[in-house]
Amino acid sequence: MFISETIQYAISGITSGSIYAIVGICWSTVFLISGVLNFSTGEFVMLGGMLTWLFISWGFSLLPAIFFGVACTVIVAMLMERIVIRPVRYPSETTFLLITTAAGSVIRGIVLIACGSDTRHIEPFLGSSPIMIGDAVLLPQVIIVVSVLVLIAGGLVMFLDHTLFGKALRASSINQVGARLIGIKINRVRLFCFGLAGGMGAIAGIVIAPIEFTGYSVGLMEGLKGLVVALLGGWTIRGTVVAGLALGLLEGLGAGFISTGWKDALALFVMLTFLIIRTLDLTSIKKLVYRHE
Amino acid sequence: MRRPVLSVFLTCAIGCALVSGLGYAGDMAPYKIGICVSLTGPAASIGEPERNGALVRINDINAAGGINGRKLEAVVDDEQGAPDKAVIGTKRLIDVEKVVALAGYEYSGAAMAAIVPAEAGSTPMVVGCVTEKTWMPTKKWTFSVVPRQKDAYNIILDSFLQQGAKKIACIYVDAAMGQMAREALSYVADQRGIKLAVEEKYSLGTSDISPQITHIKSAGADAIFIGGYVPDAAMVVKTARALGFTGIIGGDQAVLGPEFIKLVGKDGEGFITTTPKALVAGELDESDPQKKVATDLYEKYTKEHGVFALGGVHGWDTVNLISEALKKTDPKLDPAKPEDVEKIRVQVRDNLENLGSVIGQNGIFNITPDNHNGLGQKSHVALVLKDGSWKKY
Repeated sequence: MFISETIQYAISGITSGSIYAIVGICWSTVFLISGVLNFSTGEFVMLGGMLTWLFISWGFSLLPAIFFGVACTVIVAMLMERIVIRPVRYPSETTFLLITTAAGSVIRGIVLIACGSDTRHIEPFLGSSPIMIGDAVLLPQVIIVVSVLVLIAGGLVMFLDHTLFGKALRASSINQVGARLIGIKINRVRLFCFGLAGGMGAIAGIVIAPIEFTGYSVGLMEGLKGLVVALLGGWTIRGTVVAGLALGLLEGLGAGFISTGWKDALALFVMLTFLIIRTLDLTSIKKLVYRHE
Repeated sequence: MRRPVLSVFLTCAIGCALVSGLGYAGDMAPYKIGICVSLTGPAASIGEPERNGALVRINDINAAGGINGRKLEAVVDDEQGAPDKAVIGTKRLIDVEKVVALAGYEYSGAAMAAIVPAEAGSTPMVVGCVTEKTWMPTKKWTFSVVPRQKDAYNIILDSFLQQGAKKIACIYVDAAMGQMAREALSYVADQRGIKLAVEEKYSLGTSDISPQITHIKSAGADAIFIGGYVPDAAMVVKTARALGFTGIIGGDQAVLGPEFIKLVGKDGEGFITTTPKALVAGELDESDPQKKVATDLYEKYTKEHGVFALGGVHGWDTVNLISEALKKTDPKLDPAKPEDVEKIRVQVRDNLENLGSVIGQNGIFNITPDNHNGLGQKSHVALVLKDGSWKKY
């Protein structure tokens, strides 16, 4: 009984952890390559889920609905870069922070008006007949969530390490001026990064919607936890995945063995402690930020 | 080029001013009723119907010529399911909008917080939220239209036991509403000598509830009682079924409405809860004194706002009580004058305590100075979710 309970808590932790990790990767893709802390990342997650729900309610079957949901979110993300990020005359982190937060509220507001404030639900992709591990229950949707994380993280690592455009992205993240000098079009790179983050966020929002529901307001919390995970993971893909899963597991096991009432507080407490310790080592991040100026 | 544009604008502006001026000259100033509900946020799925129900009643009264020759005007405030917003909104309604009375408040936490400014601002407030702490102990200016949780839970417990439940688990949202649900449930269970097998809570807006369900399962419970709002109660049901829980599930009537049914789908079959009579208006006996108002609200609501939801009942009742009390105020008092508004408020409050029996949606009200709710025990009907819709149990 004890073992299967532990497995159950771990499954629930890994599920939410995977989502945190994907959202964290969205943050770091945009931040590393364009220096923008995109506070509307969580809204991409929300958009993915809500748009897919919308297309399904219009009579599309699952796969086309997912495709259009992701495509529309990518378009929104790229439009956002083009309309509100690129025209900024005096770019600084604070400006971007304010602009992206505002853009996020606008997206949230539009969805609220267009789709209403109700919570929405997408049917599980592979049905809901559970897989039993001892007495613990594993839902097929959880397998999808975890495989999506593996695919996204693996694909991104491959892409950044083994393709020319991927290397160009990494070059721009290391030194924007230098990258521009050797002929990389920074604007195009940044546009691509926003699209990529939009797409990945949307996918996260879609695969989690059958388990955790979706609604106009889910973006805020998902986005924040993603930021925390990206910070903990040191803005690298591998680090973010590890940090995401660790935070998820901590929440799941903490809720199971300590107290369910403490679930969110526990995660936040560990996060604060970690961040306080981390400030001692923030110089590396600062260097990274200031290099863009 | 500029001049024509300017003159067109001016003409419009003057026109508008004239029209609105004429409008006011013809009519007497309306009685403003503040309706404070959450239209966004976690409690929106009950707040919106509550506003709709209130508007149905206000339109009714206005169509019949208003009260004392004056129309009613709804001033809606969105408290977003947040106690602090409810306090600010309530203060605004009292001090700026000069409403004669306050209605709405579907969210217990917001209502409890808003009592403070309402009492301090000497404005009668009729709430439509489930907690009985709003009217017990009696407060000078606060009234409630919602029947007691305990009576409803007694009915649910009956049907649980009838279906053979031995160990009952309680899971509730960690907010005012859920805590009161837990207290009420353990109170009625205690009275029958039953001890709750396990109690679990979760935070409002949580996204994962499987640890709590695992606890409940490992405690060996065969029935789950949920004290929560629509999205999270639906999540409890779905998660419980996904994790292989096969027992009975039921819960507080806050889940009533179409959204819950859509969210739980097949997993919700057999869910047990209670309802005020309007929701089953068609199935009531002809001799039922509430049949007329219940059918009336149900028809108007579904015509104007689509699918009927529980909040509509509370919204209708809050406005109905206020309007009954307004009828007996001095018709000479002018709600456009601040000093008269204060007098109207006092009279509305005093009248509310002396209305005699008023037929409402939640039951037959008999408010007295000691009982600011005035509902009897027979206000609820047991409901079960069957084939995708609510049926009388």
